[in-house]
Amino acid sequence: MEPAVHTSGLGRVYKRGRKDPVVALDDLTLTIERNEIHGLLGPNGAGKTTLVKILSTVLLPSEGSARVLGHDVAAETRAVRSLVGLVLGGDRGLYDRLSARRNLLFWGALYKLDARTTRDRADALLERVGLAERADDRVERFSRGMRQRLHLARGLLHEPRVLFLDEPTSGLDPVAAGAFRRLVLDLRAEGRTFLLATHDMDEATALCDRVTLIDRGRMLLTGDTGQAGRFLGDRECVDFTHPDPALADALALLPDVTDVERQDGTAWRAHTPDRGATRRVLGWLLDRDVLTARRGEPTLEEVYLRTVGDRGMRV
Amino acid sequence: MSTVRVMWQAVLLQLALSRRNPEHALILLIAPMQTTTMLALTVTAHRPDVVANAVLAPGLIGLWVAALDYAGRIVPEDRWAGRLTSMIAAPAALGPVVAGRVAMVVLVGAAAFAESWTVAALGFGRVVTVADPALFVVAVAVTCFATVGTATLLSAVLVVSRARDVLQNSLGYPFYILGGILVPVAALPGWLHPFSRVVFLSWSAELLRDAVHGDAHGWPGSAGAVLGLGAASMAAGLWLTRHYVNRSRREGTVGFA
Amino acid sequence: MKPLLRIVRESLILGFAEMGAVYTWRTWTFGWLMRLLCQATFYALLGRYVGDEATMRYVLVGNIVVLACMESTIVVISLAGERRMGTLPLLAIAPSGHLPVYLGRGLQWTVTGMTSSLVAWIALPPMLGVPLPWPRAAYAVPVVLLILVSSYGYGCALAGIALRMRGVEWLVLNVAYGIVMTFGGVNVPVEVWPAPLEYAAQALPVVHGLDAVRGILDGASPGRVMRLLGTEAVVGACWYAVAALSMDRLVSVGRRDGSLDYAG
Repeated sequence: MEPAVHTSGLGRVYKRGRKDPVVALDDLTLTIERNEIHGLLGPNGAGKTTLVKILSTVLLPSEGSARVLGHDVAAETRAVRSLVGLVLGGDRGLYDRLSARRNLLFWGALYKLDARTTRDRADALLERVGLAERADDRVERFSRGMRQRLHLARGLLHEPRVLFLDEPTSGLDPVAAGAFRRLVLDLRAEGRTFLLATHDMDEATALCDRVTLIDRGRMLLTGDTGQAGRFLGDRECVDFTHPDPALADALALLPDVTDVERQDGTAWRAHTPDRGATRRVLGWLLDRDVLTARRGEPTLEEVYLRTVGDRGMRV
Repeated sequence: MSTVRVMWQAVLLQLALSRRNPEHALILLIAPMQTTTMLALTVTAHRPDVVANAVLAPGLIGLWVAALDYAGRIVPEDRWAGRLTSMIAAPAALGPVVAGRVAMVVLVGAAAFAESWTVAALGFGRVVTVADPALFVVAVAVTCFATVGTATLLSAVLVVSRARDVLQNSLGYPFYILGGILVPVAALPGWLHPFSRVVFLSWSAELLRDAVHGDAHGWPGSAGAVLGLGAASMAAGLWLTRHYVNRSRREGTVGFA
Repeated sequence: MKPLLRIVRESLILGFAEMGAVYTWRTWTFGWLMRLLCQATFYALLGRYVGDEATMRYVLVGNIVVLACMESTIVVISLAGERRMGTLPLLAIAPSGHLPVYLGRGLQWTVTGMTSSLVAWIALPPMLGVPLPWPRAAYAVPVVLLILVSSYGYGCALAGIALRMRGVEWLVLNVAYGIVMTFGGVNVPVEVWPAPLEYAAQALPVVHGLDAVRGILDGASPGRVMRLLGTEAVVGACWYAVAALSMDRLVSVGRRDGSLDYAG
């Protein structure tokens, strides 16, 4: 069976008149299996949006190829368009002067759905994204979260099998973002595939089965979200809390410890080269009555920061 | 010296804004087309005596549109109600800034005059000469003053009213008719005359045409009327603004747009 | 056909909703419509001042008919709004294609354009003392509709420019109908202009339709009127073709160079 998305050697260069061209994507080979939620991580300008644009046929690749459910995005545009949904983040892309329902009816006509189907689906989707009560209010009065949910409903109107979400929760408050994520998980349960471009690590950790980290158009790593720590080259670590920094200093002198970093206040993390060293460090800490010590796993955020570097903080 | 510098900075600011915003060049694009239309009609009807009207009218329209544009777009963009409060508090600081920006408005109108003259000369071979240059300078000066006064009033009206775009659109042609900028007020129906006389354009247009034709009798009255109407508009505009600012302070309505 | 009609319907709803942001029916009537009537009156008065009643009627008829063109070319503004709203890429990837929407986005202006010209057609001539020969003047109404349609195509074609360069939509709009008002036989016959200009003016909308309107009022032969209408229709069709090509190119070029942006 064809994967949901497959790119091979995908590249995209933007020409900028007399200035040097910008390489937005460079030799990207990526596979997203069906029914997967795949996170696309990277700082601003990494090439996330460019990839989403290419896969949703808004943009043509300059090198390599991309297929969605077996259809080439450049050659079989029509087939791809009926299979994919594009969900934009931010305030744009909706008609502010129309009600939420009217927006959906408008796009239903554009997607050549018949009137009854459009109406039924619009009602069902508005219910589903929690906008049923505000369905007839103009979008201009909507909050960011409501707009975002309407974007999602719009993208789902033609029941696409693959959805591309570009920064869908940027600027949302935690409650709204949480509701949005639950919705995505529900939709995945129906068999849909998601590519989620984001620079929100919590979101990627909470939602994604697998993640791909890109920077400057190049893929840095790709793999299961749960085993993010492995990206850092099998590095092990031990987390513990202790009020006295002197203990951390002493720990750092052990041959089994590569370095110790302060997480915040009294929380510390010691990095170790391998499993054996971890065991010895845990024993050393227990001997000193540090009962909070446990083996830690680097978080996705840590992986991100270590791989992309501190540029990631500027997003 | 520093006042001149502040004014110059304001002119530069306005220039920079206009350059980034091609819309501001609109008047200069329309004026030649209007001149062409009006002159074509005048010339094909064999009325050489009306050529001056057709050349002057786009300039006056340019001034009027620039004033409207200034009042309706530039001032609100500056959240001017707030600034005007401070202008009342410290007139010395803000006066030159406002004057500098208004100078741009006047310049735009003046440029429309020049374009119009050029179109007549090059496109139709009609070189309009000014018979009484001194009077013409006086006429242009008082007209510019009245334009500034009117712009002040219009900005107050536009800010107070909620339908800014609508007003901005509809404040043109009715005033071109009333102002007799092309067809003299005397040729309009009699019942319109009283209305015409409170529009400074009607006096300005006559004054300008008289200067071109070298017919200077009674000019002090006309110039006085232009100045008086300009001053009255400015006073009314300032009063309306202060009234509005005070009211919005009292009622706590902050949104000006 | 049916899906197309639904797109037209939804576009109209959208168009009027956006118009509602600027106008209520009252401000439209007393603001905008009044402005249009004054505009036609302004030139008509000039006509009488420099000429006679006949000149006035000539100018007035031209200026009333050109209102239809003026309003329908406002489609330039509506279309340029799509870029501002960031909907261009979404429209480009919709299965029905971008064309129906691009061509439908300013339809509300054709409705208001027809209304304004009709009001002016009925009200202004008697008000200004140059009544039209009714019921013959009624035959001009469908011609105004044709002019409206061809002008809309002209507006769509020019919208292609406004969609490519940001912030120029008002310039494009004003130049678009300014050219028609100046050189389109509205105030003076097209024959007044030097030969190259006169030939170029044949490609403008309104020119032939307006000639047909004048023919109807003056009792020209039906054959001549029909010929003029045919020419107006052909001119209009050509502008639609230019519009379609221009917008197709906008999308295909946009996909190649990334200018169909939704972020910027």
